[in-house]
Order: sequence, then structure tokens, then C-alpha cells
Amino acid sequence: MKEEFDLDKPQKPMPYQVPPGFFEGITHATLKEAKRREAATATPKSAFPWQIWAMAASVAVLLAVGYFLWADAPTTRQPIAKAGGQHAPVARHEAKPVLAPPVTPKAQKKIESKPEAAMAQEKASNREPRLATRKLEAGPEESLDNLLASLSDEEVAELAAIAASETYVYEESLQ
Amino acid sequence: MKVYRTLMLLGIGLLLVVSGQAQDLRNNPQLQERLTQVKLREIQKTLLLEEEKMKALSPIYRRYESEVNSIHLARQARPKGTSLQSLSAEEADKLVAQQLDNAVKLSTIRKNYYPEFKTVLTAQQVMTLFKAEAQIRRRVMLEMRRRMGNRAK
Repeated sequence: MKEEFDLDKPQKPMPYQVPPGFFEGITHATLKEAKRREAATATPKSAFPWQIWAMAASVAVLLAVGYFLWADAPTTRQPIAKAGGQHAPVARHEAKPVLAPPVTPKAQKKIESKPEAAMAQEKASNREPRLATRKLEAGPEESLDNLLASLSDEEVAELAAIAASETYVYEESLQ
Repeated sequence: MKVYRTLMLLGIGLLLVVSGQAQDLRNNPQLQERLTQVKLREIQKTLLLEEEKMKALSPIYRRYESEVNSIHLARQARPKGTSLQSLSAEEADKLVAQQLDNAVKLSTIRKNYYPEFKTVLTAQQVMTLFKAEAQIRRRVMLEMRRRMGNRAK
């Protein structure tokens, strides 16, 4: 006859032992340990670390500096075609000669007493307007063809759009 | 990888902003000045004006040109690549109203400056000046068409 198995009746002595109260506190202990590990390994995360901001800022500064240098630089583009029969630059008349300050009677006395200083002052007053005039005369004499040839497609397109709008607005009344 | 992608996007954005500004005529006073110079030279050539007259005309024309430019540069252009058919009724209405408004403004400027021009030029010369301006505009449009034609080839 087969003997029924009874758990309460120990058949053999258990080779392992569990510390008292182990199973009661295991959930709490595991959760506590998990929290501790998480706190130890977690690093503050941000979408944009400072390195990215630094690099982006330097790129922005470079672009801004480059843009302003480019915008302020005098145009150096050479005209593609040289049209004949050009006129003198129209801005020449706007040159205001740089004149020496007016000579007061007191200063006049000094000049009379010092002929060398007077000569130097006369030289200076003669030299400055000449330099100013020369600077303006050296300006480019640009014709419309040269200007158009030197423009980019976008710039011509913008000018053409303005021209077209004015044609629409005004030219019919000019005929 | 994510860093590089973010940087690239930032860079492209900045480039677009900068290049967009550079192409705009209102941010290019040098080009505006060159245009004015060229216009004055063309007017001098067409009207066969002496230096004396140009001296008197130049400041008046510059003021006039600056006022005309302020109207052109303030206008809201149709977005690039959009045709008239693609505009909504509201957008088209806004554009037409703006064009008509600008037409009045431009005519007013010309009307206001006419007496000033007449202090230097005769009435016939003023008319020729306006025609010379129209001729310049036609040449700009021709240049645009020429470039478009070259691009299509």
C-alpha cells in the first residue's frame, strides 16, 4: 500500500537554513536596494548639454561676425562688361572740401611772427581738399549694364519684381 | 550622433537666416546706393545734363528715390514659388488692395516732387526723367528674362 505524502511530517532534515524573518522583509529590502542603486547611477540629464550650447554659440558668433564684415566691406566685384561713353560720377559735386579752421586775429599775429608755421598751415589747408577730391574721383563709374551683370540672380529677381510692380502701377499713365 | 544632428540643424537654421537677410534689398544699403548712382548717371546721359544741373538735381532725386524705395521695400511680396492661382481669395484681395494703395502713394510722391524737379528741369525734362526711369525698369526686367532664359536652356 502506498504511503500518503504528508508535508507536516518531515521526512529528511533540510540541509539549508533561512534566517529568521527573511521572507517577511524581502520585499522591503529589495525595493530599498533598487532605490539606492538608481540614485547612485542616475546622472542629471538635459536635452542640450553645455557643450552643444557652447558650440552653437561659437558658430553663431562666427556667422554674425562674418556677415557684418561682409556687409560692411566695400564692394570689390569688378564689372563684367565695360560700357563706353560713361560719365563722371554724379556724386562728385557732393564732395565737401575739408577746410582748415578759420584763423583768428590772435592766431594771425602768431602766424605773422612765425612765417614757417604760416606756410605749414597754408600747405595743410591746400592739401586736404585735394585729397578729398581725389578720393571721390577714384570711385567706380558704374553703368546699368555693369551693375546688373554684377548682381546675383536673387537680387535681379527682387529688382525685377519692384520694376514690374511699378510698371503695373505707373507706366500706363506715362504713354 | 544626436549632438551632431542638433548642431547641424542649428547651423543650417542660422545660415538660412543670415543668407535670407543678405539677399534682401532692404538690408543692402550699398546696393541701394549703387542703384541710385546708376540711375542718376542714366538720367544725366538721357537728359544730356551739365554738371551744374546735376548738382542741383542730385539731392532732390535722392530724396525722391528714398521715398519711392521706402514704399517698395515695405510692401509684402507674394511668397516665392507661388502662382496667382495658388493664392486664396483673402490673400489675393489683400495683395490687390496693397498694390492699389501703393499706386496712390507712388503717384503722390511723384506729384509732390514734380514742383521740386521743375526748379531744376523743364516740364519736358521731368517727363523724360520719368521715362528714363521706366526705361531702367524695363532693362532690369529684360535682364531677369535673359537670366531665366539662360537657366531654362
